[in-house]
Amino acid sequence: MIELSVTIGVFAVFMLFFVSVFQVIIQSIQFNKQIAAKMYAETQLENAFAVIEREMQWGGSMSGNLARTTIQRPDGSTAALTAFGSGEFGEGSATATSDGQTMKLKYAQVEKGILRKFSSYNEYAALEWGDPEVGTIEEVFLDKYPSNPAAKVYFSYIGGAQSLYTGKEDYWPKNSAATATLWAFSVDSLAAASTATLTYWEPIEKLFKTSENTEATGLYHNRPELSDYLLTLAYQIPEYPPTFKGIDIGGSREYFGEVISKTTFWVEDGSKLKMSKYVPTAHGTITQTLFEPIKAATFTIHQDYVQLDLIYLIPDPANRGQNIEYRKTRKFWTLGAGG
Amino acid sequence: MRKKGFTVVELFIILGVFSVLIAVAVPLWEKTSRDLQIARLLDTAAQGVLYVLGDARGNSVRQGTYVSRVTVVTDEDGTPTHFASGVRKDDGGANKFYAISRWEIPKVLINTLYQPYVYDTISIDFEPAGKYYYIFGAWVKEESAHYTLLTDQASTTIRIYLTNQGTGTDAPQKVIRIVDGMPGVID
Repeated sequence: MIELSVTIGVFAVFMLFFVSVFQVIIQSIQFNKQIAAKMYAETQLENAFAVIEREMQWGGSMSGNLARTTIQRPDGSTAALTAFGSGEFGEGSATATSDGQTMKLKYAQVEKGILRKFSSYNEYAALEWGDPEVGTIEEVFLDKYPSNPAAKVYFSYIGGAQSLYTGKEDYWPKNSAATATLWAFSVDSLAAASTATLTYWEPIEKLFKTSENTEATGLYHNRPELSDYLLTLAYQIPEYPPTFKGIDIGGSREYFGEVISKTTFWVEDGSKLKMSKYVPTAHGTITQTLFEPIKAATFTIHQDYVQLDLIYLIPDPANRGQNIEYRKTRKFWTLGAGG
Repeated sequence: MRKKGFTVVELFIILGVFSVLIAVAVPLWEKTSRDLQIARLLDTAAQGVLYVLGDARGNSVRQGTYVSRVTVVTDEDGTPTHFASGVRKDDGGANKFYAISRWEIPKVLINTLYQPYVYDTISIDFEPAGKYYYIFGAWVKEESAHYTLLTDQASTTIRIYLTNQGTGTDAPQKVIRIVDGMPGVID
């Protein structure tokens, strides 16, 4: 009887030890899962904050111009660019909220921004690389990149009457044509919000040159005005060469990255932080999820910054189907473009 | 008169029971230990991939890096060395990839009681296969003539797995799914 008791006792101690060790291991696994999930969420959240922060950097750039700009359609009709108007944003403001659940931001990030698309790039003249002979852009492309499948060149601009021209365009002033004023922005969009100064250029007096400069995926006009401004072709898409590729954001509309947009951040169904960019030159909107899952989020606009208060969730590994809540607050400086 | 204490038979029985318990516990312990190390390794890999994806998305709303490609960088032998994001620019007539942020794929070594358990490497696959980018904050796939915006339920899977001479996707793995532009880790 004593031996049996001793054996049972030793066995019980062993089992207790054994079970305890595995309990610790299981708890450790659960804790590791929780830490990993929190790290994933934190990484994603910082990513989302970085996107908001960078969008905010441009807030207010060309704000005044955007509020007054009209849009010209391919058929020649014009309309007010209401998406950027003072009615939605308030006079002089680049940000707007509604109930703290939505924040809208308008800007044209435009040191190099040209806001018009052209489809008939072979209409205008260009210099060939290393060759003073004048050829067309198409000829230059074919000569330099025989396999280049690019069929169109796109860019856009704000016209002399502060109209935003969009859509396909066959027109280009040839050397013999009357002047056609092209407008290019020449502002530092990181500066405080103010009405930008537009400079213009009459292409009849200048020759284009396609450039292989790595920081210029586009067209320069010839020297000595090189430093005046840059016409950007398929804006900043470094796929050049060999191809220009727009983003299809619905139907036949293509977005080539003209950096003028109304960016909206909002809370969807109390569970997702969403972001959309309305692009007037494509008359389309790109919408994607910035972060999920969340429980709540609120934007508060101040004079110099926007504050985002957010509660995000990670799954609780110890209680299936339940979440653990974490709170996060972040301020984003608006460089004076706030309410 | 019977002497007090264990008999030899009883001792052997107890030792036998202990032996069975240890025989069960030790391999279980080793498997648990190995699984923990693999899980930690895959968590680290997922974290690295998420970091690169996040940086690519952040850069894609920044001037000069609007088209941020996300890709696996290999060495001359084709062995994956980094998961990276960056831009492609013309360099003397050639398209060259410039990595802006990268996560170095580590050597995979898992220590166990008996012998180190070595996988060849960590492989990272995109499903469906293709070239992927963040552009202006949006997740897109390169097509022949344009970028397709992957939004709503159009998802991309990034599978991270340990490979050991062709163990392929049966190997321990972690899956990141990008839905509506948002990467999330799927266990």
